[in-house]
Amino acid sequence: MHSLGIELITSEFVKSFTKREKIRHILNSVREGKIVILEGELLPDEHTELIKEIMLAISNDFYGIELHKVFKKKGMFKKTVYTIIEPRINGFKWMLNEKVYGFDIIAKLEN
Amino acid sequence: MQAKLILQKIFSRKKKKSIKLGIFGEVGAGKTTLANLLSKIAIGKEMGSVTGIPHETRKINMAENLLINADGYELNLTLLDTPGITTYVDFREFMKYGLNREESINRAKEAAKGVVEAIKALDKVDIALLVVDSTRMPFDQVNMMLVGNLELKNIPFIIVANKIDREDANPEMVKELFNGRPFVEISALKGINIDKLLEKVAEIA
Repeated sequence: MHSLGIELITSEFVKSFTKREKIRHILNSVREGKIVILEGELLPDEHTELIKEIMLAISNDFYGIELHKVFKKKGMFKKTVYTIIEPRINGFKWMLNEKVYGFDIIAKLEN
Repeated sequence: MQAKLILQKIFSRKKKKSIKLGIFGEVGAGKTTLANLLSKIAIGKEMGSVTGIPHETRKINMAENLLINADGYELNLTLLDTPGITTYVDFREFMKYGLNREESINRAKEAAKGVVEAIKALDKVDIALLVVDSTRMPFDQVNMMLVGNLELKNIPFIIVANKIDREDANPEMVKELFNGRPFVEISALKGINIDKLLEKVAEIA
């Protein structure tokens, strides 16, 4: 059974994590059906590790993830990067308003 | 006289380069079509089947001793055609192509394993061809991830903008996105610019 949820992971929060812990944390959240908003970017090797773990977790209910990178202005010159990790699971689909990139996120129930 | 002939023979001989060449990219980018074309040029037969159903290549196909001439070199290629890399595999997609539920679930499992195999193969190649479908928006995070990893591992690679025979192709956008990286635009289906691609491979090998 999946639950709808959104989890914001700040860069401060993941600082103390090892690479493995970071990947496990994201994996557990998306498998529960939560959309994860990660402040910052995944490093290339973290990215491949995440994909490998995701592929091993694929089932009849959990199909994987979609990754999006969005930029949000912070003040006049600063920009913060967020990585949105969207689960693809049976029962509903997350919908991101990519035009606004203001994290307008809604969930649509599937038939 | 004899010595002159021998020297002529030595200097006219093409330099040989042995390369393990990996073909990587998203699902449906045209990797197997390119592998088939290279194999056909070298040995007159294809490596894998292309059906239009996603994830047709679910295991790494390897062909050894493919001898191809390019830019004054004789390339001895070991070619690795890898499964398409993706972040999700939805078995229901396969049912749209006429596969039943069980077949689709099995295909999804094989495809997921194939993605892991393809990622592991990044460590096994001398040169990587990153095949990008130039009819799609190239901003997919999979392409970025591949470039990031290849650069991190110091593996030389070429961005191959494929499907330029199609009217909706936009190889310029691909070139712009991967600005400064070795780049060739081709059509694996029609064999356009394959000589340029091979020259580039010989150049960076």
